[in-house]
Amino acid sequence: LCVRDNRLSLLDIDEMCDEIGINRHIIRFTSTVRLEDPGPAVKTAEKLKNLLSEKLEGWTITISDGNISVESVLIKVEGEDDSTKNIYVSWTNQDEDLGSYILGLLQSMVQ
Amino acid sequence: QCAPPDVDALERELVRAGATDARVERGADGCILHLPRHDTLVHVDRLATHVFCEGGADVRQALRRALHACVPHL
Repeated sequence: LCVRDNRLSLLDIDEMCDEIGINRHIIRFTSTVRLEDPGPAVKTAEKLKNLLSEKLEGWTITISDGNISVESVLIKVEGEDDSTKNIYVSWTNQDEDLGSYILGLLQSMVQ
Repeated sequence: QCAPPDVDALERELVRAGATDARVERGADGCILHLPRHDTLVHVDRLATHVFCEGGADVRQALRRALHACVPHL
């Protein structure tokens, strides 16, 4: 809550930092999941996107060049066609709940 | 301009959290921190921190607490 142009305004934390000229420190976490899924990495990414769309109803999930994003959470699949894929899951501190949920979901698939 | 990260405070908080195996390499604008027991590498810079963490939510929580003591404007 801040006073702007003599009026009370409700700003989110990033807008507030811009307003008062503070460079906010960003923390990003990245974890890896190894998944047995032969085939192109882009196909694995499509499967993961479908799984996330099912589990995260109402969230905007996008996929571009095999990289999936939901809010600040980024999911990248890497690996050769015939090998185990490395899935990198990355999220900012503010999206810890969402990031750790998605990481847990992917980890549960490989156990 | 943000103040540089307080690496001494980070080390103190990590010891308090029981991470006595932490290896810290200091740089001009922060540090690189290795927690071998938790397969975790942390790159702390003036404006951003990247945590490459193969540990669980408890490790992330301990790091978050330690980073609060170390960097301003979280």
